[in-house]
Amino acid sequence: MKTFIENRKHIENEFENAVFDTSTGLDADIMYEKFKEIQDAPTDESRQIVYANAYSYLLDNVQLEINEHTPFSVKINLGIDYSYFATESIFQNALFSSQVKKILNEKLPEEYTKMKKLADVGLDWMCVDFTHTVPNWSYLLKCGFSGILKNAQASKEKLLSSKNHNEKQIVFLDSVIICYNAILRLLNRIYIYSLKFNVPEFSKCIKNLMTNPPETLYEVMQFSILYLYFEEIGIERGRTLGHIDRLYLPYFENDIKSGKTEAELKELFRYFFIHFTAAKRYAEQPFTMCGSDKDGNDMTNKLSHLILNTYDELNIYNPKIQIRYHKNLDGEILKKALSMIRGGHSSICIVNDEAVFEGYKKIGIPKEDSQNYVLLGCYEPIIIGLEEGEIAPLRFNMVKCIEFAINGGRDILTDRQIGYESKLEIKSFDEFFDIFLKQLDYCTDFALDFIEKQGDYSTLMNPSPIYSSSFSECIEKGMDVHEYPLKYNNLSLKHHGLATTVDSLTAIKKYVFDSKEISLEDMRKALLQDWKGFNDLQNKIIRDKEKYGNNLTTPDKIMTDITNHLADRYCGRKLKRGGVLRLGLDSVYHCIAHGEKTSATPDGRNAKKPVSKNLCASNGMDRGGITAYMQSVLKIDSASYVNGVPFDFILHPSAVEGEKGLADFISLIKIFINNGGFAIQGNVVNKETLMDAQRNPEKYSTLQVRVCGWNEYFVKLSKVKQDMFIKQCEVSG
Amino acid sequence: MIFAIKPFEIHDGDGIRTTVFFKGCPLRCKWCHNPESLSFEKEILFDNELCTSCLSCIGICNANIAKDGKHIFIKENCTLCGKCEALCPNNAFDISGKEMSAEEIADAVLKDEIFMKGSGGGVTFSGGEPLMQVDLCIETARILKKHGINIAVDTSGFVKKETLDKIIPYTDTFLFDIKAIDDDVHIKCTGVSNNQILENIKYIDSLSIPMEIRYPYIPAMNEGEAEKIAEFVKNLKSVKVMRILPYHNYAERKYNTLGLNYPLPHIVPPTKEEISGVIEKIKHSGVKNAIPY
Repeated sequence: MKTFIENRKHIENEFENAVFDTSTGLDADIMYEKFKEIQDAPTDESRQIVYANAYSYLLDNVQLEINEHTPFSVKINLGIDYSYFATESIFQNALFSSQVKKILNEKLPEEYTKMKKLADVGLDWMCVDFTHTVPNWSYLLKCGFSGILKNAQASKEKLLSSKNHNEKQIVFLDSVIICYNAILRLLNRIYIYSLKFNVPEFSKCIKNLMTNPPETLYEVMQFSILYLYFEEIGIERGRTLGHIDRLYLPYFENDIKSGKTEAELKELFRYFFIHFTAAKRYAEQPFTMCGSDKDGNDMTNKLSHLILNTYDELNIYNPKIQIRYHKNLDGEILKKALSMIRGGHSSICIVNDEAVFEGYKKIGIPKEDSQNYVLLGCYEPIIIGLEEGEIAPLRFNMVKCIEFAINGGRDILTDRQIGYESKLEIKSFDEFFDIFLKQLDYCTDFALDFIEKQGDYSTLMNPSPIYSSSFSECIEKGMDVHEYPLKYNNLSLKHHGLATTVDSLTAIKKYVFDSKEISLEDMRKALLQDWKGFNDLQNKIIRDKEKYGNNLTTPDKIMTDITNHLADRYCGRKLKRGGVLRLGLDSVYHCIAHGEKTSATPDGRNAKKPVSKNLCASNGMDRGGITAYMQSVLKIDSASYVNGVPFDFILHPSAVEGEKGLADFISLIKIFINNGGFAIQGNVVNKETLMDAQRNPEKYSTLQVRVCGWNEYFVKLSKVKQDMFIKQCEVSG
Repeated sequence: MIFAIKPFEIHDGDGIRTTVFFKGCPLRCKWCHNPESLSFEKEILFDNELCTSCLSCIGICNANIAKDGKHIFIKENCTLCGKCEALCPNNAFDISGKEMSAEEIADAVLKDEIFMKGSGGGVTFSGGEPLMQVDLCIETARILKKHGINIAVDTSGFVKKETLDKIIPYTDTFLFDIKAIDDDVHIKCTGVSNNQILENIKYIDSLSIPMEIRYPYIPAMNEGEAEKIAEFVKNLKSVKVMRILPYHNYAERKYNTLGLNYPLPHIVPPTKEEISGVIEKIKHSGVKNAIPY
């Protein structure tokens, strides 16, 4: 085999315009039609069996291709457009989406209609979140594909021989057995097909994985890639690869004992990482590293260093790295990570162990369980093997509640009654704030109630035999993971638009009630008219320095009043399913989509413009610099927001240049974290570079920016997104 | 009179620092990159490049007028009322200079106490020439010292020894520029003699107060001074580090906003290689701890 450098060009674009061997199976569009027939056909079978049979049909007929330039040779044709959502597969489009709508219309007709109305006006974005999952990797690696099948068969026999079983349990296990038999048939097909190519190591690996758990680092990596394929085919998206420096260490050490060299294993990591870069998964594939063990000792090991160094050398942005920071973390790891961020490799998130432990403690989960957390997607912790967190079924745009408070619960752009009918005559800021909170509660309560009820039908909407069977509990109890067999069956809520909300309330306090420069009635009029006729005041409000993100008393007090209110009301709330509610404050890109449906706001923002992102100050408003912004964020009780309170930053390169700059950068991040900061991610870039890249994209094809929990190439972002970054840079330089 | 307080400064001493910029300077260094620091008075900066002639500011005062649909700013008519600065949607106006009490300065600085203390940083008094307002420096320093804040003073050294004596008890580090050893060169570059400056540096050294020496390297102005400065510095015992500050021309636009002519329009900033060469020369002359800015 040639070297990685020679092979790289044959791998990194292998999924774009991928060609498959049509003799190995059916075209994706033929299978799509077949799935539509399955979806529409009347049947007495349970949904789990219908699903499992469809899954088997797909695996038995899917087209294959072998790439001889990589040890991870096989590609499977899922009819996916890899340039965007990897989950836009034939399975998703033909089976899943229509089933979700059908079930929600049947089971929750009124609530579903109302939820769609809320989504229409940009109040929330809801989904059935099957796309943020984390299998129990340790259990999977211990069992292997054949082991899972054997365990399911054994559990079925055991249940059948006991008097206490029910039909549902047997149906679930049957669905697992059908799916895993299909997986083993597909592995056999891949093995036979691979023999036509010059990939002997790959063939040997697949043959072993058909009958045994993975034994070497190569087999572990190949197993992980295949497992993610198999889960994703069935709609769920396994995100994190797990805590890989811990998980892979025994295999790494065994390989070394068996005579492999560190250089050979490093080469393997190069191919492993580039596989995920090539797959171009939307929002990418993360993995977790380092962290503290139960006694507070650093879990960093030689593999941690090797992984970070290998990643750095590749100059890639995916997979993404999530480093668990704690006070005893190996200093070289933090230095390397920040030096990578400074150098433009910003696909790194650093999360604070202590803040996560505190967050879990607040929702009743002790450290002996939470200490094994990983970050699941962007920065949402999950206790691998013990917790289902359903991290993103609902993203809630708080800014709309300003609109409702000012306009009697009516949406300004559509004039529909969405919030509760609150009074229009308001005499004081306290009264206004109270109405705002009531609108917030009213809308959140409804959405939350819907999401909880929706959970009752998860298995009917999308059975999860592959994901579920990665948990021994599911196999032993004969239960789908969405029937809540795990120790912690939690649900998460994300509120966003924090800065726009706070700045709007600050402006109302100051200009409507304190200085009385404008009446509430006129402010309503200004928003209805998108500030036309009120431009001087709009300008004055925009230029007013009293904004969230600058460590200022008034806006930050309003901010903590909101976040504490949400925490008191929702954090750790007990759910009917048995788990508790987790809160988060990140927005991803919904700040753009929601902004498009949000009227002008009292902070001077025009209608349809993006609302603020994550915990960021409104675009360009963190004029007090990064330390003031950090201190505003530190006022949030992060323990109440275990689903994520990420701190995004943009620093000008000159602020962290040279040896001293790096040392100060390290201090800055340590101070933030040691004072309770939850997680950080960011970009070191200047405005001129981004503007030049916007004008001359051909010169900047590799310029990456940290978006939310993932990176993207700047030149591939839409202009709206690019402009958001450029505006953010205005403060940093 | 203060013209800026900047948090998260990494170039003005150890660790993460907040730099307080005092307004007014007795020197007129031709390369000065903060021309708004020169005058001791409040003044207005108007950036014509940012002005879009939206004419929002017309009619508020006699300094902003419109002619043929274009905005014209007449500085002589400006009373520094600040209305245009508050109004302009494009941030074309900036009033530089604010009277602040020691308490107000200290409050602003202490906002970043956790960053200063956590990074081994502190506050840096800079300017302008901070010691031209030595009493304000002392009062501010007195408050900050109660909070255990490390204090650096970035001075030209062009002050009387008695002035220096006043601030010494509060100062953890001095940052001194040496622009030239040859006095003729110094006068040509800055308008003043360096006698007092060099005496003050030797005096601070004799008291063993840590110093950072800075050599602003300006092609065609003081480039021939490198080895002479190194000769001077190598005999000092309290110099922790000597930094070479390369000339840059980023301030040209700022001069325009003040209605001033940029003094060095034709000088090309040195390359990294050129600076490395200068550092090597300085090291060769016996200053081992010379580093780039």
